Amino acid sequence: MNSLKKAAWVTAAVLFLVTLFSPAFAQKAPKLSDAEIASVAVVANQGDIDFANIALKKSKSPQVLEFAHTMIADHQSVIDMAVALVTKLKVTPKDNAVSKKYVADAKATAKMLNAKSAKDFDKAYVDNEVTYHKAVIAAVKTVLIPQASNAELKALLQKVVPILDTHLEHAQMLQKKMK
Amino acid sequence: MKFLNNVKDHLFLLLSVVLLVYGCSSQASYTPQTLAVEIKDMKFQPDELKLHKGDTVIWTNKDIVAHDVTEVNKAWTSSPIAPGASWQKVITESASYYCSIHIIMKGKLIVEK
Repeated sequence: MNSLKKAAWVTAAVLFLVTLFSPAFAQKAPKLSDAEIASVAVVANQGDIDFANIALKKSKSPQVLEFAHTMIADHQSVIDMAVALVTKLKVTPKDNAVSKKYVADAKATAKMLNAKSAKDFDKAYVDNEVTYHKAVIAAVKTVLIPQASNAELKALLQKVVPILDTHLEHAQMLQKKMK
Repeated sequence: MKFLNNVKDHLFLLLSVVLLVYGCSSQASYTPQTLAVEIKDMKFQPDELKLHKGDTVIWTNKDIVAHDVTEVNKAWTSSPIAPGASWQKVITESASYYCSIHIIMKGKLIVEK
């Protein structure tokens, strides 16, 4: 597949993800059980950890590397808390259409990032972080939090929102410097 | 007359002693305080704290991710503060600080005279 077709395919995948988690889509979003919400939460966080690990391999920028380390630490903390909570609640995270699509799109994004040259990587990574965090924030606010039945799961998701907002602001700051 | 002069002298002496004791006690009356900053929802709360030289500030991490408290010129740092943990410092001068893990989180300490 040439680079133009590859870029188009990845763009479509990211746009699908953004649409999937847009407020408008939320009105038609499938009803998720707490087990499914937990699965989406884990894969969403894991996706960003995977992107950050690619950044650690490919970036030479101290600011990008610093950001990537923060993404790994924070998203792993959220995964650990989510796993601890579902273990306590005796809930097994359940794969679903949303989480599977998420995993597939994250795999495509990872492939795109891995294919980037050293010169183009930092911008591609940071641009993706901005898009990704906007989509995840929308998903958490408009789908996962409203649909969570368990109070502790809802509270955990609510605690995650400021973390995601901070990540987005940090990514946007880096993005601005790259323009 | 001599009696009155003696009374005046004694009153003057008494007044001097009272003023001296009052002056000394005013300067010695401030006891350093311990003040709290919560690190919550990815913010230092309060993000601006007025205090006196010698006060202690305790930062407590109420978030679910690690933070730190680092002076903007790296003069001092807490190193990472785990969720639920605290770190404290005696403050001797005004300082601006931030979280070096989440660099948009900022705070300020203003030492008042």
